[in-house]
Amino acid sequence: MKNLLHICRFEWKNLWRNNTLIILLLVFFGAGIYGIYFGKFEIQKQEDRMATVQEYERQQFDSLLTWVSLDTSIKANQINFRRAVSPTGEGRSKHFTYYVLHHTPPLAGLCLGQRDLFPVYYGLNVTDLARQMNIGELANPMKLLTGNFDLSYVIIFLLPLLIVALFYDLYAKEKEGGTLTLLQSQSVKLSTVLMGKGLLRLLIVLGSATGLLLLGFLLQGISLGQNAGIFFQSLGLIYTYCLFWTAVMAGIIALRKSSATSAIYGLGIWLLLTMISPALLNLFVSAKTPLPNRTDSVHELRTLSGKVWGSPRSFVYDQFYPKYPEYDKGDSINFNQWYYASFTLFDDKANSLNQEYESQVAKRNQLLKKWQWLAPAAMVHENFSSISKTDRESHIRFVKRIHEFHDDLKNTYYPKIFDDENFNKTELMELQAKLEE
Amino acid sequence: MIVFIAKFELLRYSRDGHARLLVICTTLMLLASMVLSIRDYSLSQDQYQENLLQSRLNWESQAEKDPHDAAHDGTYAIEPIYPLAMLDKGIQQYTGQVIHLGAHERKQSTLNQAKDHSGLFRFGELTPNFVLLYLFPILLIFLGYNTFTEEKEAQTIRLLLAQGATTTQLALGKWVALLILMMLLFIVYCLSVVLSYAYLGGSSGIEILEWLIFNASYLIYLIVFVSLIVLVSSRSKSSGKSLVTLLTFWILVTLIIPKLSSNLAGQLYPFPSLQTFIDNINEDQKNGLNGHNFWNEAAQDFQQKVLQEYGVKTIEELPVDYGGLLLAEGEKYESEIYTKHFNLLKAQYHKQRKVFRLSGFLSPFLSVRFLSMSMARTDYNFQWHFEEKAEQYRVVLNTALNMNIAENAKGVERYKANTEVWANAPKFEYQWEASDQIIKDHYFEYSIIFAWMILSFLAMVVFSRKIKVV
Repeated sequence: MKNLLHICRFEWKNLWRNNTLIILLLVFFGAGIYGIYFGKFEIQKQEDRMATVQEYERQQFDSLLTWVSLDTSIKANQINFRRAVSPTGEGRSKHFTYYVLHHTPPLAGLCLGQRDLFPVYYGLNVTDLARQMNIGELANPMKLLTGNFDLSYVIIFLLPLLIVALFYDLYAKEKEGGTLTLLQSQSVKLSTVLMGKGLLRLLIVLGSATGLLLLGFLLQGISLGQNAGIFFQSLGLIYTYCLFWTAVMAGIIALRKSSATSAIYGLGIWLLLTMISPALLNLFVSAKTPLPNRTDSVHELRTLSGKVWGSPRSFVYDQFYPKYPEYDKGDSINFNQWYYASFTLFDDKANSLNQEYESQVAKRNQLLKKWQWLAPAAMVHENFSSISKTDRESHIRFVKRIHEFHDDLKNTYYPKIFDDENFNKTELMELQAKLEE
Repeated sequence: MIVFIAKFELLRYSRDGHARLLVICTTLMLLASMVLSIRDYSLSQDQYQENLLQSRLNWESQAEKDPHDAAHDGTYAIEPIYPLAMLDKGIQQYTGQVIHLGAHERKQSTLNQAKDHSGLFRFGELTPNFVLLYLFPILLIFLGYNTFTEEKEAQTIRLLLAQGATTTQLALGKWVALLILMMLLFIVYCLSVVLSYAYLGGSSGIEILEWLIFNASYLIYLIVFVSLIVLVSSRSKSSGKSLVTLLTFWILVTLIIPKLSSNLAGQLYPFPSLQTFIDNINEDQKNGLNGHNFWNEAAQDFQQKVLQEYGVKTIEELPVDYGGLLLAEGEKYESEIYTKHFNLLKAQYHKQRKVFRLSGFLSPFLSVRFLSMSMARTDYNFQWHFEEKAEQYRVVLNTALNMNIAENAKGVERYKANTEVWANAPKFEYQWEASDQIIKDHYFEYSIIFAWMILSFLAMVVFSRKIKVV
């Protein structure tokens, strides 16, 4: 033990006097800090958008509250009054658009994950959800394809390179520098010396990783106290990743090859595990179990929508009332009633198609999960984005919340629409409570 | 002398067990990517054909109805896949697959496949262009990084120079040898591509010239690497340093700079949020025609114009249905507003594109990537081209339907068009953007990769004179 410490101390001096370590750490931290800054920038953009939307939503609702108190004996006021109180809106515009936000999880800025692919908010009114969900945020697809240079990228791609750079000549340097025979003539076993050198390097790696993660929390203003749980979770994940790469390098060193060969082996494995194996796995799974044709559901919905408009009344009587007897108003059906009934029928169909589709996607992603160990870098990234709540699953959970919100909206609006009633001021105030904080 | 050195160098490669193994592995990877891509490509082509038929079938099989109701239900533009997309999928999976073409509204393309994948997808797919852009260069680096340094370390360089060879000849010889090796790999690639298209039943639609240009950009890219490898190896003191320099270059050029430039483009010229974008459009449309509002000022003006044109005083006296005319005019007006706002967005994209293009000076990878995607019709330019054509068709279709109302609905209570109208409605036939147009649009990228090729070669020749032997 004492020998080990002695070796570590000596090796530290050795490394510190050599510029390489400093340069490596500077590059690593430079890239990391840029990644942290960029992540912050992207998240800030999303937050600004959400803030704008919320501001807009509040203004709009305030107008409704002003309009509901208008004096309707003045003709000019009547349109605005109807806009405020009619649950079906006025003319072509619907009653009110509520915004549901996918609030930024604390770690999102460190690992942007899949969050840039999906809208972070949806604007919803009480018409069908399916078409209102069918939007995407404006983005240059080239940017999506190239991906983000965030902290997770630095950890997944560059940290292993740091490990390779620190470890590759652990043994070979002694041999090539002619100090190996000197070491072998000591009373300390060679394996202990190598172990000590390795241990020190591992400590440097773990220290840098911890430092970078801490910097991430610090620079992005993420409270460590409130997020201690996810901090340690991420740290654990990163440490595991570091240990994995250290083990890979230990295996290479055990082959006792020259420094150049060891470096090639290390980089070859890096290339294989961070780039080739994920890419191969992706293409393999795409070709083996292609994504089901989502366009099929587009066609089905198109046909359904055509039929609903073709014979609206029979649709309401044959399908809507049996399914939703609470809204059954007998023969006295007006335009808005069948119009809104058709939205529900449309959504029911869309939901069942979507569920079928999602279950196929889930099956396929399950298959990917099964083989994911072939691509450890991707696996770590997936876990990191799951900890940061920026993965696809988090978006699916958000979508679930939207469905609940929309159902709630329908429960408020539909009774009004089917009783052919308007909102009064108190009811509008209750609706205001639905706006998100 | 150069030929002799090249021959000797090739002999050295052929005896190197590691080199053989690497070449075999890369070739296998290339073949695997080709085989999987064929399957993937033919599946997507089948899906495309099926979608195309289905969407027209849905349109033509509509019951009798008001043409404007049919317009609201709309039809779909399905994004086609160019044969070269088998080799380079580009942004295909990050944009949608279908665009709904309905009344009043220009929609974005939807069903973005990337959204259905897990995060693993962002690591890319091992398509042939992946092999060419990432793996071939790194293979060349692994093969050639020590081409000079090994001679220096073993001191054999002195022997060679003592035989009368100059260092420039030495460099050129080594360059030729590595180039031949690269060409062999490239020929394997070309053969596998030819076989793939033969298997798919002909490369329908790709002209020979276009195909040559597509591959030429990759060839130039690889030549740049060959020159740089010989250059770095000749300037490095040890094999290790040469390898580190080359790999750092590779990582910067293929991984870091593309990401940085994409980040920078987005930061300098951000897209507006969808909310703002739609709001601006609605604001512009608020006081205009929309085909359903008969009473606002714009509608009144239009009514006057129509009455004057037909030389009558009231709507009732018109020989045609006024509602149809108003719908048609409204559609035109709304589409103009959309065009205006989409053009603003496009202008922003072109600013972003400038950042990407300039980044080509730092990374030939980016220029080649854009050239390849443009030829494969899987870049953002294609997406714009397709969406604009789809929008033009949407207006044509809507005009036809609304004019059908204008011509037939006069005096008819609840007019319904018969089913022939659907079958006779114009079809959307997308024409690919011509290759020469695309090439013209990418002169800048071509100039950059040519500059890289020439400058890297010249640098290699010039610096090879100053090689230190000791």
